[in-house]
Amino acid sequence: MEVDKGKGEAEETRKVAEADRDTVTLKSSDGKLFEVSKEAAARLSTVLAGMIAGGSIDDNGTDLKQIGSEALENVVDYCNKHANSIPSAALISSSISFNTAPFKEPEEWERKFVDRLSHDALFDLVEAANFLGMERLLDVTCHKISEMMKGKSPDQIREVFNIKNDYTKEELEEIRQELAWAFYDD
Amino acid sequence: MDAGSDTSNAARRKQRRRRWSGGGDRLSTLSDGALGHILSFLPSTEAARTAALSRRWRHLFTSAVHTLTFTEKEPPLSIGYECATPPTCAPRASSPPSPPPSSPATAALPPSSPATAALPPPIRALRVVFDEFGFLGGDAGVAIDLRLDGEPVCKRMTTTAAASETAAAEEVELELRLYTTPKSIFTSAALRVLRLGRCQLDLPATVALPALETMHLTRATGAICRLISSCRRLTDLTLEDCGDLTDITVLLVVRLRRLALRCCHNLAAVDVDASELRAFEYRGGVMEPWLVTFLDPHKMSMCKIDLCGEEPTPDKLANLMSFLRLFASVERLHLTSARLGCGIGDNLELTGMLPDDDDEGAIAAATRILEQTPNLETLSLFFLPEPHLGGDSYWNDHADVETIHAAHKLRYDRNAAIDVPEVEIYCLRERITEINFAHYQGAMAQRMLAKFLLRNAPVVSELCCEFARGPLPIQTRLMEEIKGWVLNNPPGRPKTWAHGPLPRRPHLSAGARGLPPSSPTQQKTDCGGGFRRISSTCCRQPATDDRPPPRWSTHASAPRWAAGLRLRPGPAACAGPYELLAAWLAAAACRLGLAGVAVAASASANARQQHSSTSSLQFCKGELEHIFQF
Repeated sequence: MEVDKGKGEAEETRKVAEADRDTVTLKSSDGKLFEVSKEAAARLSTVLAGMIAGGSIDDNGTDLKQIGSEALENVVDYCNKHANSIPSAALISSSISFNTAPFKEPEEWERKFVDRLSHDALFDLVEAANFLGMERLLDVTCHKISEMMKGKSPDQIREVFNIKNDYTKEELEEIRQELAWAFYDD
Repeated sequence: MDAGSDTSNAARRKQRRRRWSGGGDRLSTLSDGALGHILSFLPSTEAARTAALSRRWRHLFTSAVHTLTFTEKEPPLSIGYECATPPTCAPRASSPPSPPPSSPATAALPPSSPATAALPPPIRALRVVFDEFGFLGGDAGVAIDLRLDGEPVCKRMTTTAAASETAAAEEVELELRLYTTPKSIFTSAALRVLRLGRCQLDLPATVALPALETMHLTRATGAICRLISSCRRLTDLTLEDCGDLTDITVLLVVRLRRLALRCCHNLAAVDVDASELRAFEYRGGVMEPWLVTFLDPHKMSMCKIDLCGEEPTPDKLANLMSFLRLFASVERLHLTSARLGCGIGDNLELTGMLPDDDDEGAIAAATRILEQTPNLETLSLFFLPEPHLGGDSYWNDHADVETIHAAHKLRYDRNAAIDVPEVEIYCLRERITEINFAHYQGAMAQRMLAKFLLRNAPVVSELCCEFARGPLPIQTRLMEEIKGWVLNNPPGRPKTWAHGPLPRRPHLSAGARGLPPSSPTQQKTDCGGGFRRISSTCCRQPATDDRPPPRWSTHASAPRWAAGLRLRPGPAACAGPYELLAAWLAAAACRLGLAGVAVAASASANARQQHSSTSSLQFCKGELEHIFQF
């Protein structure tokens, strides 16, 4: 149930909703309202779960001043898609077993979800997920970024992410020596 | 979601894609936590390399990464592993140091602490993947280090009564989360080093670790003893804070060269085949000595005993003495107590050689020690003679008197200028009322130290100096010199006794006056017998002497000073365990002719009650070990 068409429509939806609603309304930094199912929000975001449990959810839209509307749209989008995908429970239960990988690879839909994001949107989403304590979303987005870095030399990474090299030559050499095991192992 | 919104989303996405690489450096502006998370997905070599990106990235790998992943091309063993640790954790830097790195995995493992003070997140997971499982051999072998929480091993660091209460409270709150070790670890033929922390050992039916040489278990539970017994090639074993370990038997591991038992506070019985053991390290409370067995410990050269936990009670200290006796043959004994006051209350005895080439060192060391002992009232220095070049003749009762006298004359330079610093040491200035020198030979370094102490100790009211045997004229001059050093502004005039060779006892060899207590006859006696004799040699005539046994030698005119003479009870009657310990240490030192210096810390048992709370705190900071730098 995604509502991103603006304030008017969101308010209509809110009027329709019963007092005992099963959704929460979130308000982005630029004032747009989004609704997401209470169950999914509580399950996927530790921060929202805390707010729901603590009763600090505002029916008129819980202010999330740190999150822009685009990022919040993606967050809500992710929550809704996640609610529809079955194996979510398995993702969350962290079974500590030696031979199961601790991080479950992103599922197909998650991969597609992050692949379609722009560079900026991806970072916005990382920040939003970090802020909301959405572990799985943070995993998926960070994993995406790490894939963008993987197998690249520091120079290549700087190019991709526009990182400015503020080291002197001597400093770089010092780092290379300190981390010789990482630089010269192959 | 309806089709309409889908298409509008798609349109927006296309729009965004055009801005793909337009903006600034979004990556570097993410929080440390997020960046650490990102780097945790990378192989750790690649993650570490990001330190070269920019200053922002300099310390991220060491401070923010929570998962280390190594993919090794060569050696065997396949591990995939996860461990969730509680969210709060002490900095990793506090974990014990690792051996020199042999592979990237161990090189990265306790990451060096960055200059920034922020606490790094606990490592959540370590994944090491080796391509060829079952590969045997390999030069370096395999090292696994899975000590993932860098918490201090023992919370019983500070041991004032108040502090130990809070520590106990913290321990209750601490949630212990163990991970279960994979069975495959214990059947690796190439595993050479295994370090596990906070884990539940899940052993397979047969443990096969034919190459394991170093094992380090921290907070492990499970069949530790069975694991140890199965590792026949083990040379280095460390057990830390294994709370449910009550007894340990290392009889089958005959190659063990180093054994460290730290803070296994429930450990009561130890059985070790020590035939190859070189170093033993122990940290914990005082153990019941009869439950500790070291078979054949003749090769042990280094022993560190660190008493943590609460200050031991007098009867515990009696145990400590016999506990230490187990290590009577070690060359270097380091005794550390969490509270320096544990060894030193109001009475400190230092025993050791003071070679003549050591001029500043002894004074500096004495300063350091005295700064740690604000309550000290009695200071005794027992100078050990330097080993004689011509074998052990000097130690012999029948040593050539001429030789000794010649040595004395060589050493003594009556015209030498003795410059000592003026210092402000609290206990020396305010507290020390009694100073004793035993076996004072009058060599330059000894004179300097003596002058240094006396010149800075205005409240000394008792000074005893017993000379090593030597020519009477020199001793007389030394005595006058010492008297001249004593400051004359105490409440009562200091009483000085300086004992030269006694006119009543012309045959010096009989009473072994001034000789170190390690003469061959005493070596034959057991330690217990040795004790009394040592203290008697230090403080009074040998027990063989038929004179009554008050403190210093029964000088002909002793009664004159009886008013100022505090008679110390004899050791057999009610000497504090510290005194016995001190005597024992002195005995051990003499017997071995230590290359270093042994320390004897002495305090009467009731000295503890005299500590004010502030001085107790100061004690905590000190370590007795410093004394060994003497």
